[in-house]
Amino acid sequence: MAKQDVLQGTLDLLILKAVSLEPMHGYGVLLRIEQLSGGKLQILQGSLYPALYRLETRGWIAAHWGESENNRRAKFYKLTAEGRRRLQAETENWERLSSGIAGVLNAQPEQS
Amino acid sequence: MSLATRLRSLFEGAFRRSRMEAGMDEELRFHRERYAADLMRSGIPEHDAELRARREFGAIEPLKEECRQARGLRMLDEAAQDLRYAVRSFRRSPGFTFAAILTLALGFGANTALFTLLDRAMLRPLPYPDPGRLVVVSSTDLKAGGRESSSPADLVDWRSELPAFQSICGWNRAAITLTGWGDAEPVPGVVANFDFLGMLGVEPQLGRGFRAQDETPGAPRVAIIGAGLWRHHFGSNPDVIGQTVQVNGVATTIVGVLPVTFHLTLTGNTEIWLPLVLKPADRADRRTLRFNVIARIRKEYSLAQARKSFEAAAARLAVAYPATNRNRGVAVRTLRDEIISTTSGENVATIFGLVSCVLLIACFNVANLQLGRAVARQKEIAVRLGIGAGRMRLIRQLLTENMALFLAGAAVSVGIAVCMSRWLANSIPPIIRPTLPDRGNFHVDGRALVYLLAIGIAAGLIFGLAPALQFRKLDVARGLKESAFRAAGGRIRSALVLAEIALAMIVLVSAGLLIGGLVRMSGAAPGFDPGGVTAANVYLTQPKLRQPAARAAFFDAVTAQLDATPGVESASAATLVPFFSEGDSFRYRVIGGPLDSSHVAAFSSITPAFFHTLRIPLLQGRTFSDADTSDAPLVAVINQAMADREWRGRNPVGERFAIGPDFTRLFTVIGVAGNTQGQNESDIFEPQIYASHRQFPATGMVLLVRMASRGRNAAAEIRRAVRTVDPMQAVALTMTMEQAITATRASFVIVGQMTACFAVVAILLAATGIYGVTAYAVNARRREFGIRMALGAGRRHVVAIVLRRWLALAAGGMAIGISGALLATKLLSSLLYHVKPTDPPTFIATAAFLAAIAAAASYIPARRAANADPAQVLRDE
Repeated sequence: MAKQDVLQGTLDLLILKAVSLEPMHGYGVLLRIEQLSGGKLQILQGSLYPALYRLETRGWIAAHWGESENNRRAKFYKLTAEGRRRLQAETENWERLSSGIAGVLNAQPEQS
Repeated sequence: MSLATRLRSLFEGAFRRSRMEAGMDEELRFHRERYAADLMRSGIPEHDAELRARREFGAIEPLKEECRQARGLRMLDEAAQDLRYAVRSFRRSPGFTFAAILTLALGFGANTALFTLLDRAMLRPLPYPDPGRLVVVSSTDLKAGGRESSSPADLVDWRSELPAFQSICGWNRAAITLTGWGDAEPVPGVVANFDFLGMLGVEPQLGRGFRAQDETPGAPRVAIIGAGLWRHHFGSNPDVIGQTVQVNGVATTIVGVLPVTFHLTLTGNTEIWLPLVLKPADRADRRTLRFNVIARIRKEYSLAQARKSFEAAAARLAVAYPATNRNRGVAVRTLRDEIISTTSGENVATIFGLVSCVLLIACFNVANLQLGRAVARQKEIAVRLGIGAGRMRLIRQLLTENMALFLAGAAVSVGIAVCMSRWLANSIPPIIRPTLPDRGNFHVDGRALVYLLAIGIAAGLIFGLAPALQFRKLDVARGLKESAFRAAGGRIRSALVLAEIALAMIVLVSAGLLIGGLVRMSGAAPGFDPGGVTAANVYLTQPKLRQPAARAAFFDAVTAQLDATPGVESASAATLVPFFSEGDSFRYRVIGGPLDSSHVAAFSSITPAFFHTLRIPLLQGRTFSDADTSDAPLVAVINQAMADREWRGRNPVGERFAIGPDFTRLFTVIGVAGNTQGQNESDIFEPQIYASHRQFPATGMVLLVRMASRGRNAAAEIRRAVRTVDPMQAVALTMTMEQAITATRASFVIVGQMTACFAVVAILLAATGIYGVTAYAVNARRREFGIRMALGAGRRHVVAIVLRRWLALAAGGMAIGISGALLATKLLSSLLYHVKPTDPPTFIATAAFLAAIAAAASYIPARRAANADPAQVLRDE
């Protein structure tokens, strides 16, 4: 199966989810999403960083400089309280949407 | 997203830029290197791994730009860039920048200074809680029209039977003499219902307010004093509460002191408040209209409902008491409207309109300059468009440039506004200050600065957008070849000049009428000689002076005392003194004249020497003598105006007329005096009756003293003379007649001077505007003129071509301006001194002047064009 590109709104949701697990740097976010999706979802590097900056500007994630696994200075992102609320709302939205779509797609031809 | 986060992000973007950029670089590098490391771990050689990491990452700069945009920094970046660009371009043309900023600063400054006045005169809510519910109620005469005071009995009825009102309070001014604490002091007082101050939401800073029982007859007398009296008479002594003083000779306890902030424009400089005590006889009096009424509408009622209920009450009273109330209605209007009309707030609005015309001219001028610059910059703009600048981006940049210019003008104007409003405030004579909103204390405050910022931004947007939008349709190729939008730009600029001339016409005509008034005023003979005369108000407030004869005797004694004082040339007293005090007016009927005709005349009780003191010529007959006692037949001196009106061409001495209820008081004319100018300074002299103060004794008179030599302290002499006659009697307001005239004319003078300044600015701006546009237009047609002259056209011909076009434009502008001016001067009419708002000479002179200015301003560039060498011009192009 080909790797899937991700829509922007969905990307935000995925990033929020990823950093909600633990504070991580940008590269980590990328790896984590690929890993969690079982390699089905691929985030383009070019869209990851603008998304991170946008989320930070909106106050949903907060950044701080810390040490990476191999002792290099890296910028870590973690979820803020506002981001947590946002994540929850977005997750519910997503579930509603996907179950709705699933309902439509699973429809069987009616017997007339 | 919360505003705080966004602001923080913007702040970081604006001020911690380098840190943010470094962080971004580091983060992206980290990512790339980790990726490369991961690739290597999966077995790819180091060199290939790095290359692949770089390739997959894509171009780093666009990514960074995208990140910045995600931060919301792009607009900020561009605005900063535009601003820097604007400053650079202004620095390149310092002359233009200086002229534009100065022009705008003058316009904004004058406008803001006038706004401080307008704000207090009309805009700001009154300084009382829920001021919209305060109304002024007047009795009206349904037959003759006009608003009047109300009778005590009507007031009592209204107070008890109108549920729509929380309070209905009568009030009246009272001349008070305060004794029993320091020197006898005259104090302007107000007698009002006990709930009056509470209705205005004012709490005493010391002591208590009035209570209902304070106004029952026979209750202990109490008074509340103002903060000013408390300070200067009682030395701010807190022990004053509970003190007993004599108020007009009646023992009265001071129960409260009002806060210094309390001020009611209608009552003016009131410093003592007394409860309104109505005796049983007063409570039944429906005849004398003696109370002003202010009321507060209950929250549950609208103004219209309250008004209706009041009118219904008046109708009920008219039915119940037809003898007095048959033709009596009521008028209810908001306190705010009342104050605006008593302080001539409309005039402030009109002057504000004029100063706004000046601001508009300034803005048009700057827009014009900008348009001119825009045309000159067309090549630059075309090049920038050609190499890929976005049009919106370009428009935004030009708009930023204009905004910067307008806001710089607004910033510089703060200084001008502060100076001007201080000058305005200082030119208000102290004596009329208490009758102005906020005690005439005009200054540039926060509200004025907010207003300034608002008009700065608005003007910047409106007048900055026009030049910017010009480039919307600029064709790059044609723009590079020049002359592409000359035509369009030229049309806008012509329209702007037309508008400038029209506005200048309005300002100039108004200024012309007002200044003409000032000139006429300084030349106008008031009908008497004010030099060296001092006037002082004396109210007889003591119980022992209740008898009319005692009052007459008092003023006789004081004038005699003054006459005996060395240095005094003449002393007298009168109830009506021109420019100083208003007297009564009476209807009179000439005996032997038509029975159904009566006229109104001003009425003044005077001592015999009055005409001598003021040097009013006695044209016929004599003045009063000692023989004209209270039991002798009534005699009168009339003025020339009355003689002309009733006995034209005949000697009125010996003729008779009557005044009073049913015209029962019969006068014989014994003399005719010259006309004097009255308080209202109208150019038509009103009939006036002078009666002897012995036959018509007054409670209050104005003492007039002419000193033989200037420099002697007349005021001190008057006080001494009064005290010699009665040590308990105070002297109120004292000033020289010259001061009185100045105070009366102050509003004319201030307004005249102000508009004169505006007119000068307007004409300068309009002239530079015309000059600028003509110079540009002539320059644009240089080639054409060159060809014309090469083909044999004379210089005069070229000058004529230019002049013809611009004079046509000026004529158009003036035509519009004249219609505008007719409207403006009509609004000004109450400020015009002895001239009609449509005064043709002023209009003609202004138009001629403006035409001359327009001709001169366009002649200079026209001549320059004509003097150019055709060969040179054609070679240049």
